[in-house]
This record gives sequence, structure tokens and C-alpha cells, in this order.
Amino acid sequence: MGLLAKNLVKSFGEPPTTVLHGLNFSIKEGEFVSLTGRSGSGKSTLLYLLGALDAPTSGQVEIDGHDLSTISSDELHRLRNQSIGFVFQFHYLLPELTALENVLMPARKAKKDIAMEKTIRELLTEFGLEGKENRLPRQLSGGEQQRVAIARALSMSPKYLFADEPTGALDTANAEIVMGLFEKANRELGTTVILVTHDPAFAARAHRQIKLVDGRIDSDGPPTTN
Amino acid sequence: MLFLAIRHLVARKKQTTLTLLGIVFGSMAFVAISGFMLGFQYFLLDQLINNDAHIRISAREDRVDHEVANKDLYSKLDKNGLVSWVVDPSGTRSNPKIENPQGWAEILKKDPRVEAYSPQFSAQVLFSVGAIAANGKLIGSEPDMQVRVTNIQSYIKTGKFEDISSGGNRIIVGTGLLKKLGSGDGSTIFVYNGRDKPVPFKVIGTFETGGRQIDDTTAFGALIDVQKLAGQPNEINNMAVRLIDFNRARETAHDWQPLSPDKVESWDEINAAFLNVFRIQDAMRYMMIATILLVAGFGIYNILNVVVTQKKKEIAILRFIGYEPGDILQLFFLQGIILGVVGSIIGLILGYIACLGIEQISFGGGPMGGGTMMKVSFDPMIYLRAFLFGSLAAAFASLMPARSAGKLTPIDIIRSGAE
Ligand SMILES: Nc1ncnc2c1ncn2[C@@H]1O[C@H](COP(=O)(O)OP(=O)(O)OP(=O)(O)O)[C@@H](O)[C@H]1O
Ligand SMILES: [Mg+2]
Repeated sequence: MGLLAKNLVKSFGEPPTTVLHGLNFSIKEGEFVSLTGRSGSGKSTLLYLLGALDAPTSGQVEIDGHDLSTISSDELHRLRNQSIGFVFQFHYLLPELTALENVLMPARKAKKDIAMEKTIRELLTEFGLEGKENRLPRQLSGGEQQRVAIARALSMSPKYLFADEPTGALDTANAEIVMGLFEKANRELGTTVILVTHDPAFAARAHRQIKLVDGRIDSDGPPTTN
Repeated sequence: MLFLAIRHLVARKKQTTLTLLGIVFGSMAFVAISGFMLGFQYFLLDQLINNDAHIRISAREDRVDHEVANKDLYSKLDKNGLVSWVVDPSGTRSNPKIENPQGWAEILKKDPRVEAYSPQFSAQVLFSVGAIAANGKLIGSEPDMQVRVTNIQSYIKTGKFEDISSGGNRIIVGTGLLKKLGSGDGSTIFVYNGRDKPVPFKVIGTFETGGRQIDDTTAFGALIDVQKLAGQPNEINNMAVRLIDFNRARETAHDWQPLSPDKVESWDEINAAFLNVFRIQDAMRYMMIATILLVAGFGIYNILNVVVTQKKKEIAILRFIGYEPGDILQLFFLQGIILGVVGSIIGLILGYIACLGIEQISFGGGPMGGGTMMKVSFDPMIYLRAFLFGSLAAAFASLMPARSAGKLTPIDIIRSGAE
């Protein structure tokens, strides 16, 4: 099982400019992959394709053997709800809801919010957010907000966690905490992590590093430190 | 999504309150204006229906023109076309009367729709006391039949309506008429039919309906006395009929009309002008409310459009954690519905309070008489309509913004936010 990219092409606009040029690779369950490359090389674009947020111009993405272009919209929504977690650079939280309510939103969609509240509270405690469960996002620091967002991404114990420069807006201390949470999820829960990062030190902590140059895979293998 | 919809509304209190005000004002205005207008209409309708007959059968006042005159006066010559007039004759036949009152009585007795009927003879007369005179109408009837046809009984101020029957030129007079004549209860009034010597009648009571056009002009007497006064003994020129169901008056009148040459009119035909005014009032009322709700609806539409744009990021969040387009549509549609329902309910309550206030206003003089309180209708239909209009306007206004929100895809929002 895992993720599979076949001849993945993505172009934008008219006339089309191709951003991803026929990528082929697979990611096994439980891997920790870092995705690197210069700005504009197509990292985010690739991440959205793999994470079922966007559709490729041609080629296929398979998640656990399911071709994303052929699954029903019900299955797609269930996939997003239960198998995939997303974390962005800017903590995308719902400003009207408290930290706890934000983290419970995926469970609410699956009608499991009452059953899961206790687990989620424990998760927040584990993330160093004890006593701040009932604060609104604007009453939390940037690092705390990002931890809430990660807690939400992990709340349904997804198989895949996609993170697009999650440490980009954080100071070193907070970035380190966030990185630690990803590693812990990967190690203890077996969550497959695909991490887009500009930080070579974080990239080097992955099992495997895929480097993009102008929409093509430049290198794919154990992380390099350069 | 209800929970999130409510959170959204609570988070933007000012906007929510302003939008709510539109709907509140709209439904309140509807309740207050309708209560006031319908109250007035019901009051008048009640008077129209209960103070007069549901159906009035009256003698046709035939116009006399050259055709009629030729036939009656020169039938032989007319056949040969030899008659011509320098000035066309004009006028009405004197002494109109119902030709076959017994026939009518049979019909009315048999028809199951009829509750009661009363043969009448009404005459246009001049009332006078000393040097003061006033034009008016003297209605002669059998009191025991008359009281079953209209509710004159409940308007009697002094005396007893039945007492006019004992004969001997006794009348019950409208308070306004009596005042005009400068006369009082128990006095004698001379009644002049236009031809013969004035006849004295004794005032044995007064009545007041509150309707000036009746109170200032009308007097009731015994049928036999009025017939004698008019010089038409044993004849009647009117038959007042009360039906069990006044709504069937028109249909019943149409059924009867072909049975005789007499004029058969239902109360709504007689008062067509009034009922037309009601219709115009209703149209105005609905137009007014439509305008207010249109404005309120536009308010909701505008604000929701802005909110959808402002909340794009959150729509994206909901979508990438697995919420469906339908959920997003619901989120915004529900906000509109909540505004509509809550606004309408507050409007209904305020409208009700306004109606209670209007009811306390008294209006003196006027055609309704003095010192009467304003009539306000509390018909539940008004409240139901106001609620439906308010809620539907809000639902309608929020449908489009909600649908556009549902159509947004997470990726477009994330990309446009990232750039
Ligand atoms: N919706 C779009 N329409 C047109 N071009 C786009 C669109 N989205 C991305 N691109 C282009 O595709 C290329 C890759 O963009 P992408 O966001 O994937 O880069 P990235 O590697 O994530 O860069 P960064 O490190 O700055 O986030 C860029 O040249 C960008 O301009
Ligand atoms: Mg990017």
C-alpha cells in the first residue's frame, strides 16, 4: 500500500505552463519523506496532488491502491476526513472556535466528536496545550496555534500527514517542538509523513529526501546534508 | 453545521444585529399595519353584514322612456310607427312595489339557506318638528320579523323595538336624527310623504348604530303605519333576508334573481365600493411589506456575500478536513434562516405590542361615532403570514451566497491565499 505517483503532470493557465513534468515514484506506509527544492520548483503543487486536494493534468495518484481520479466524491471526502492530515505554514484555524473545538472538527464530521473528546484532550495535553483548550486561536501564540493545527491533522489518526513548510513561520524553539511532534507521530503511530521544508537540517532528519528542480525529480534517496 | 453557523453569527454581533433589524422591522410593520387595516375592515364588514340584510329584494324602480310610454299610452299608433316625441319623456313609475310578496314569502320559507326574512316598506320622507325639518327614511316592518334579520335590537338606546308594532304611529328614531330635529324621546314628529298632509308620529325610543349615515336619517315604524302613510296599504317595496351563511349571499341572490322581475342584491353587491377599497388597501399593505422585505433581503444577501468572501480560508479548512460542498452550503444557508426566523419572531412580538398600543388610541367624532377605540385585528393568519414572509425572504436571500460558497474548492482558496 502507500502512495503511488504515475507520470504525474500538472500545468497551469493558458497557454499552459507545465509545473510538474511526469513524475514517477512511490512512498511506502510509515515512511518519513522530506520534499525539498527551490521556491517555485513545484513542491506545494506536488503535495496537493498527493494529498487529494487537487487533480493532476495527466497521470495518476493512488492512495492505498485507490486511483484518486476514479473514486466517488463520498470516498474522497471520507479519505480527507480520516486518512489524510494537512498542516500548512500558516495555521489554518477556525477563529470562532476554541482550540479544543477546532481539533474536534474532523471528528464532528464523522459524528465521533463526543466519543473522542477525551482522547483529543489528552492529545492537546501531550502537545503542551493543557489549560488552553478553551482559548480562541487569537488568544494563542503562533507556535501554539500551529500545534493545535497539527493536533487537528492527527486527530483522526490518519495514515498520511502532509505538511507544507509547517515550521516556516516559527522561531527555532517552536520549530523544533513541531518537528518533534512529526517524528513522534511517525515513530509511535506509524504515520506516513511527507514534509515540505526549506530547512536542510529538518530535511536531513527524514528517512528519505525527494529533491525537485523545475518540476522534475533531481534526486531521491537518503537525505543529504548540503 | 448549526453549531458553527450560530458561532459565526455570534462572532459578528454588529452585522447580525443590523441584518436582524431589517427582518424584525419588516415583520413588525406587517403585523402592525395588517392588524390595524384588517381590524378596521373586519369592523366595517361586521357592520355591513349584521346591520343590514344579507340579501335585499326590492321593487324595481322602472325608468319611463319613450318606449315604455308609447306602449302604455299609444299602443295602437306605436305599432304603425306614428308616434314621435319632441322631448323624450323621462321619469320613474310612481309607487314601486314588490308585485308578489306572497310568492317571495313562499320561496324564502322553503329555501334552507334562509335564516329569517322581513317584509318592509321604506319611504323617503321629510321629518319636521316645528320649523325644523330633515330628510330621511322611514322603514316600516313587522318588528318581530325585523329583529331576526338585522341586529337593530342591540343598538336600541331607549324604548323597546317591539313596541312600534302596537300600531298608532309610533316610531323609534336614530339619535342623530332626533338631535337634528332638536327633539327628544317621547315627543311628536311630523312625517310628510311629499303629497298629503304631514302625519304626527310619537317617538317611543331611540337607537344608535355608530354609523352616522344611518343614525342621522333613519326611523323605524310599524309596517302598517308606513304603508298607510305612503298610501299603499298591503304593499311592500322591500324584503330583507338574513342567511345562515352570509358568504353564500351572492350565489343565493343569483339563484333567486330569475324568479321575479324584482331586484335581488346581495350585501357584497350593494357594498361593492367598500369592498373595492378593502382590496386596494390589501394591495397597498402587501406592496409595503414587499418593499421592506426586499430591502431586508438585500441586506442579508449583501452581508452573506461579504461573509463568504471573508470566510474563504475557513471554507478551505473545512473542505480539507473532509466537509462536503453541501455542508458549506448549509453553513451559510442556516445563517440566513436563523436571521429570518429569529428576526420574524422578534418582529411578531414587537408587532403584537404595537397592536396593543394602537388599540388604546381612541378616535373621536368621525364616521364611527365618538370615543370609539381603534379596532385592531389579532387574526393568527396575520402572524403566520408575517412569519412566513420574513423567513422566506431571508431563506431566499441567503440561497445564492450559500450556493456560491458551496461551489468553492479547497485548492483554489489555498492557492489564492498562499500567493
Ligand atoms: N494556480 C496556479 N496558476 C498558475 N501557476 C501556478 C499556480 N500554482 C502554482 N503555480 C506555479 O507553479 C510553480 C510551482 O509552484 P509551487 O507553489 O508548487 O512552488 P513551491 O515549490 O511550493 O514554492 P515555494 O517554496 O515558494 O512554496 C510556480 O512557478 C507557480 O508560479
Ligand atoms: Mg510552496
